[in-house]
Amino acid sequence: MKKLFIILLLISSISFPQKFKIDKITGTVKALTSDSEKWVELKTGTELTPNSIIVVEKNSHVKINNEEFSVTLRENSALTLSSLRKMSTEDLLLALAMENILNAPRNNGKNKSQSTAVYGKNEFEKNPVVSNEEFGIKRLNGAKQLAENGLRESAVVTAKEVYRKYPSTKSLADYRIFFADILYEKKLYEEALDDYTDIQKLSLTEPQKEKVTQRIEEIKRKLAK
Amino acid sequence: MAQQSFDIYGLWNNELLNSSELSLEQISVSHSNIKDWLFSISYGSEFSRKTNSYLNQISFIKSIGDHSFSAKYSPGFQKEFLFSTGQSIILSDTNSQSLRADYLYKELFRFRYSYNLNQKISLGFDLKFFNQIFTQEVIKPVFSDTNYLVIETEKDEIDLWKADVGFSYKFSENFLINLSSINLLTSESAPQYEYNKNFVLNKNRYFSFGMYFKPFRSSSLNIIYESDKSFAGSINQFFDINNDKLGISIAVYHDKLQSPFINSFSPSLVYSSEYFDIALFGVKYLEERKDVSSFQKFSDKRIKNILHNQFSFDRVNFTVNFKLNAKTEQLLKIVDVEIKRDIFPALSEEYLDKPVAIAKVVNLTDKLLSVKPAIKINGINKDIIQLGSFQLAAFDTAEIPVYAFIPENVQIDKTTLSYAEIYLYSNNDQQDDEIQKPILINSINSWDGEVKNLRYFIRRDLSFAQSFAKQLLADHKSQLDTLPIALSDFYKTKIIFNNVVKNLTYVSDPRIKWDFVQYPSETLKLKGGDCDDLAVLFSSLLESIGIETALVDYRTRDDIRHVNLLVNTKLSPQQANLITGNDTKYFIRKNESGIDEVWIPLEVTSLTDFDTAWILGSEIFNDEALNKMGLLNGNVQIIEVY
Repeated sequence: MKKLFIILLLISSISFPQKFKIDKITGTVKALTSDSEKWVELKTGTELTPNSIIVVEKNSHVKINNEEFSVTLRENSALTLSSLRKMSTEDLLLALAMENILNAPRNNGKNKSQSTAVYGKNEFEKNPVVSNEEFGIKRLNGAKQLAENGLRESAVVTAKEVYRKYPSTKSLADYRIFFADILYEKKLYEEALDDYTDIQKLSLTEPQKEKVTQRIEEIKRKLAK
Repeated sequence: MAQQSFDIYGLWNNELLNSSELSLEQISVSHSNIKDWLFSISYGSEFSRKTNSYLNQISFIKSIGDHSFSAKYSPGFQKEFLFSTGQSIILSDTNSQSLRADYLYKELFRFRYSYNLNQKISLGFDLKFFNQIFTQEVIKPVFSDTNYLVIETEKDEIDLWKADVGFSYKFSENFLINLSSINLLTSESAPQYEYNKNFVLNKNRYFSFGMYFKPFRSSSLNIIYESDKSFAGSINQFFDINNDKLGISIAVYHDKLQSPFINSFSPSLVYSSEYFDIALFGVKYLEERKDVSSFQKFSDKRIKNILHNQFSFDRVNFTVNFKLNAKTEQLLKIVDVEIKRDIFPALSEEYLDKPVAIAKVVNLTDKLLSVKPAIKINGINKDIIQLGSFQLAAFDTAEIPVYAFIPENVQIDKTTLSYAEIYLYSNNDQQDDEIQKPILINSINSWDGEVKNLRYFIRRDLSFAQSFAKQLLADHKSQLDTLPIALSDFYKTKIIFNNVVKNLTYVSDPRIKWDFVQYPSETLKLKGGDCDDLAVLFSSLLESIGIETALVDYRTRDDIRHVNLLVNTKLSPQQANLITGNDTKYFIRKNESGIDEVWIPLEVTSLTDFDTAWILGSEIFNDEALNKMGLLNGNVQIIEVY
């Protein structure tokens, strides 16, 4: 709570670009605008709104410009254009706090009418699951490339959103460690510690296990000071 | 020592015994503690050569607010002296007969008035009536054919009125002083016989000064000093017995006309309850009192006090006080009440959490009290509604919240100026105080502008909404039957939205101070409404069939507050792909069990179709709530309907 209060004091008006222009395309790059359910192939010079999603297919890449900077996305990645924005460390903290607000369980279940059991249908019909992990991985690749383009704060925020919308991606240790490292390097030790502790519960390789354990101990030492 | 400094009860500190009166003699010795009526009767015995028992006095005290009146009839306040004059007469049979003189002093009536000027100062006025009957046998010659002597009785009846004043000042709950005059004004009828002038009661002017000190909660030290260098002092100790008190006291007296220096002491015992006091008092003189004294001694010193003088004997006195309380004692007082909010009848439950008024209340007693505020809003309540209970320390002042009960079925068509009657009750469930304040009652459609309070408009019409929504879904039964159950809520939402918007138009509210919100049935009947009417309509329709919704309050979008809706599809994140391939059109929220669920935003003012409303809702939510971090900075708030 104290932390949230400090964060609120730090609140700044985060500006984010309103228009994005496709500068250069190699291979196949598609977009899904917010008012459509259909992917369309992009051409150089196309302008897109912030809530559009672009996907860069295999052996492709795209250069995107806005008023402030340009970013190149490589193959097998997906990104919502609004995540292409420069953020400060304070902005990142704010975004993580908002993430916590969205993630907090609602406390309103007592008076809700409960769904009744349904009989006579098979499990899939009752509870169909369409795995879409592949798209989630593309989104994580997009987030990684944000970091590689210098937008490390925005990369972390994007990754957190991907974990929530594509829960299976939370078990991908490489990605998890990559984004936890960013928090560590930004000296956001408490946030990094939460992530490393969560990662430690995954099935890790020996080098991953060693790195995560080492990071946890380092952070604990730093926080103890 | 003057009469008023010696009491047949002893010397007590009344402050320790609320609603008792153990200082009938002292003028305004303290603030009157009598609640209404006190009747007192006392019976006593004096131990001279033989024991004389008699009714001492009957009195009453009546208290009216800060005024106290008392009257006393005291047949037992009398002293009689019988002497031989030293003269005798030889009767015809050669026997002699001594001549006698009889001096009888009586205090018959007393009237007293005292007034509590404020919490510290009390004033008193005292009027006493004395009757002095002096008879003396004298020898008178009778001149006739044969001269002879006869014995005649010369009787003098002298009335005496004494008026005195006094005041007391209470420095604190523990320390009080008082000052009273003695014989300030006197009026006496002239004796018929000159020689009786020497025997009338002393009328010299004095004053008395008293101090009442309570060093501990149940103990007191009391001192009275008179300017003729007499004094009395006592120690009182009280014990609590349930709600009653038992008091013991020992007093000592010094009077320059009596010896030794401390001429007497008096133990006394009192039991005081709510309805009566019983007091037992005794006085023991340390000097042996003789039944016979010389006339010379009487003649030289005279007396100035009927009850306590150099010729008084040991005595005991038994007193019973009866306390009648025909009026309700006010324990709490309302200083003022501030109405904190107007009444919006639709927001009924809101008033159970937030006070409609704040009452500034004083505890008038020396005890911790429960304060129970109650309210009756004219036009809303038929009865007085008491909600909540608060503790208020002795003599403390506090601001007490007053909560209102607004019945759900109340129907107010027009905004009206009414009034609220606010009452205070204390421990005894007695009404201690009340006050009336004007209050604005808005119509049943009025809304205070707080988006969270739209919940009340959603819930109120739920039965209508349920039958309407069920009828719509029944018309699409075949479509719904072919869908996986998991998609049921999503498609029900879509069917209801698409079928309802066909007949609706967006109409903004008139620019008045308070918003006007339509209930779902009204919006459907009027075929339109503004954003809050439409949010209420769709939320009510969906909630009525078990689909969870939340209101989204956008506070700074183009400086206009805006409301739209989030709908829980109940899908898991893994199932989101079943309704859209565009992951910017949904949001993940955890339910109360911590399980992620897919929610979609709907712009309820977009009355084209469901898909458009969803797209617009998503764009607004992405831009305002997430990209601009409205959820964090408070510009966007998600409000659960239940």
